[in-house]
Amino acid sequence: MEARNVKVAVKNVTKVFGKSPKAAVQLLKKGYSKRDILKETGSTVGVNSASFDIYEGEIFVVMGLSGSGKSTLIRMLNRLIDPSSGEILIDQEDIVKMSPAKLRDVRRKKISMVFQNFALFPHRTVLENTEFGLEIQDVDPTKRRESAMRSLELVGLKGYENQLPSQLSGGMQQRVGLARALASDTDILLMDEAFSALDPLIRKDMQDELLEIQDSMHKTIIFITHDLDEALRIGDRIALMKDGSVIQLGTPEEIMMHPADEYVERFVEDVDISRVITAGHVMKRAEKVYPDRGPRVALQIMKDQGYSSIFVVDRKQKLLGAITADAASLAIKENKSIEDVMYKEIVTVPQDTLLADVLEPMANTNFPIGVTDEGNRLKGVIIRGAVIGALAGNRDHLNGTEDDE
Amino acid sequence: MNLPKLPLAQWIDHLVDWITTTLDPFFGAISTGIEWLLKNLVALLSTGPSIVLIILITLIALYTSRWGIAIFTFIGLLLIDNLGYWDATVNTIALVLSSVLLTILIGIPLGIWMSQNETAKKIITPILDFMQTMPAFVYLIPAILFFGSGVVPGIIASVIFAVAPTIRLTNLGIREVPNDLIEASQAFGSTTRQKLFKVQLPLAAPTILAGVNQSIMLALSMVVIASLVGAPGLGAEVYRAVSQIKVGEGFEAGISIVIIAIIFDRISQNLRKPLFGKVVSKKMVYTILAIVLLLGYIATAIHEYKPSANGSGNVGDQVNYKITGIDPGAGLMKATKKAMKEYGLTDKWTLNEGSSAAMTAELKKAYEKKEPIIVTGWTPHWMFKKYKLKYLEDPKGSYGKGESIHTLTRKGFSSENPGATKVLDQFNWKPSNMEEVMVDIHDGTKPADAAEKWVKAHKKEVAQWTKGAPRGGGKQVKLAYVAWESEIASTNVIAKALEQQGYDVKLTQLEAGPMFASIADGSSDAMVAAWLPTTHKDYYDKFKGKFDDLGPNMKGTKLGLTVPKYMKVNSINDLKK
Repeated sequence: MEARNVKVAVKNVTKVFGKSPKAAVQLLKKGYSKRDILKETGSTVGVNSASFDIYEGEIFVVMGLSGSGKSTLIRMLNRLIDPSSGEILIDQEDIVKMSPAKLRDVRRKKISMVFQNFALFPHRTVLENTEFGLEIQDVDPTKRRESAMRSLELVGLKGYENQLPSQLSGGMQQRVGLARALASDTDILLMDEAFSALDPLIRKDMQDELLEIQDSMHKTIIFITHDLDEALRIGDRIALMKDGSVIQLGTPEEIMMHPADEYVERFVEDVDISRVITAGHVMKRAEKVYPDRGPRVALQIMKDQGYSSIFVVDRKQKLLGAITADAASLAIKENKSIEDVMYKEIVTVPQDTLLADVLEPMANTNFPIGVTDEGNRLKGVIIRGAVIGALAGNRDHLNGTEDDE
Repeated sequence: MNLPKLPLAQWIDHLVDWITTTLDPFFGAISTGIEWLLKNLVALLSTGPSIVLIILITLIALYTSRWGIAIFTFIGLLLIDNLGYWDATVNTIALVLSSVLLTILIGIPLGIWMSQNETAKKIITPILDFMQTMPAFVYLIPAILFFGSGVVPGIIASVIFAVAPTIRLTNLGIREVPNDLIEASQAFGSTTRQKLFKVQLPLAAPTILAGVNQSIMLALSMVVIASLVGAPGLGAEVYRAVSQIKVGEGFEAGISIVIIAIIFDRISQNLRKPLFGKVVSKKMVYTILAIVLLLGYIATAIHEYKPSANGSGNVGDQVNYKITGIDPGAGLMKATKKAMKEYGLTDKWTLNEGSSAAMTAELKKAYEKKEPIIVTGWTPHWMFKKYKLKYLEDPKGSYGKGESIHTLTRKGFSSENPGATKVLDQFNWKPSNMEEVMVDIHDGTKPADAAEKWVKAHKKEVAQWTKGAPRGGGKQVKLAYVAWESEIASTNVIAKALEQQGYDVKLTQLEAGPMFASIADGSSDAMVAAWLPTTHKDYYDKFKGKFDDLGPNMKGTKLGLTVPKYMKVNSINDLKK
């Protein structure tokens, strides 16, 4: 992984709601649990000493169930909620210690936000909503109109600029929310459960669109969600929160493969695993034969291993085709070569193909599916049993990730 | 436990005295400002014939509301004009508009402050409760001490009464703005001011306007009460009609108020989303309205402009040609009007209507500052004991000779209760007697206690009244009286005397007209408060034959124009100069 700039650094950030946050912070340091502190001081722990770095240009997902403190955490990043203790460095500047004027400046120029329930101003048109951030900054009206129109175009809402938010569907409203955040042209985008209020199909569209926009704009996006599928789909890295603490931080794969504790394990159990596991995870070492070895050798290997077919590769491991036991027997009888009888239209997939995308081709072929690299070299084979086992949540069938190789 | 009563009343009196003297310039400035506003509003609204304003209001109603409302407006206003209440209506509209303007100017900023600041909310909320529930009468009369009688205390009282909903709903509307919108505006770096003006106020606008609408209705409901301190308009018409028991006229004026109220309500309700708002933009309508008003104002200003006849130092100038009167239905007022006509005080002179409490408050204010004032006065009255006053000579005898106060009983009472009738018949005393009781009461003694004190100290007189009358044995006597100081004194005294005789006496306080009516319809048994032949002449004639007149219980009362002794004027004739 190349060295990357830290855009936002969260250091030991704690938030306690209630009348005596200081006392509660002390108790937290002594290791009291959230429940004990509520009993002792009447204060609620929102976030408990969270620490992590967010790199420039990544989509950082904070994921947790309701009450886990994720919304509190994101609101501390632009100080809609003031942390009880800790530091939040944005471009090396501690936002916690900023004067109100400086804070306003950061909110105007560096961080914008998209809200769960859109939070559009009902008395303003789509365009007026979109240019709100710039209007606040007293940007010249023609200029801010131009910027707002550009953002609206980006989210596909050209032509709707004079409508009121109430005239739009939920998905369109959130596009306005996104356009409003983009119009300010900030480096950092906070997205608080931005797609949670949308229905599933629209949510997927919006996720794709966000990824598309991110491809061209390279913002630093901090995305809050309670939906693990969503987190896995869009997150470059995921921080998992429970009871105010970050309990695991890693790439989607790391979290799936190595749940930090039982809680995460239970959590990831329900995930649509076919969207996380790749061909590389379920492939087996492929049995293969060089064509010049002849059908007898091929048949012998199949007999030894109990397969009904094996792949045929050349000396450079390049996949040529596959041969079945029946075809091999026929070739022996008729004295033909492997190349004469092998089946050449083998379905292959690259190693990082999601399992979900392997299922359909698998249904349409009788041969196992080959896993190949860019040079069409055979890396492994996907057989049905392993796929079904993996989908059933049986981790024994899974290969490890990078570190296993 | 026998704790002494807290002298709360005295404290308030002292406080009011202190405020009156200390803050006089301040109140004077407010008073001048409001009078200026009102005068201009009235002038503006009276530009051109009444039909101009009727059409203008109809157009506004049409623009904001439905056709139906516009038609109602047009017909309703024409009806008012036809009934002859147009000038009063203009005065009422001006009064309500000024009250509402002040309400908005005070209420919305306070409401905003309250929404932004918890401490402010904690302080303002109980004050609003106080203002909304404290009876308007309580601060109406002190308002005269601060602002003088006339329309200003009326407006102040209306504002105090009407401002609460605007404040409350402004606060509520701002606080009800959804939290995520507040977060959104903050997240984009709004200042508090930007948040307020770009997000909170626009979103709170419907709620705030609902508050203003409520305030308008409350201000309208105050017009009758405001007329008690001399505010002109439909309220005064109602008050005058009712206090003279002119039911029909009262209804006419009342229905005019209702029509105005409905028009104001509908227009203000629909102001935010005018029916034709899409056809003609709001901005355009407001611009046109502003231009029309401006033109009208210029027209009036030119029309009204006269070189001011300035102070030649005569009495008329000193008192602004104003005579401070009492309740519009009183005979004293009628007599005063007659006198004004007979002495030729017609062109510039006005007789202000109000109430006797308002008149004495105005007198107190002027007397303490040694300012000239002319009031309508009568004896017996405690003010003659309290201040050094004199009657203006009445060489033409406009006020007639002195009056008598008669005792009246309902028909049939003499046969049902001959004992009480005998006592009432023999009840007879002198003005100086009565004034003893009145001063006692005015200085803070409870009327019943003052009466008891007097009865104890004058056993001989009381014995005369009860001579030969059988004891009551718990029989009930219902006495009606009007809340004039003299009547409070006499009624309480005769009640004490009757109670001593073993009667169960019930007192009912009424306005003068209803007092006569209650004797005539038999709901009260008797009263000792009929001023004849002048003051209560109208009522006496109206109900003649429906009561028994037991003759006078006091002779030697007097009516007339009254001035403080420090004024040089001596005769009504001198006022003409």
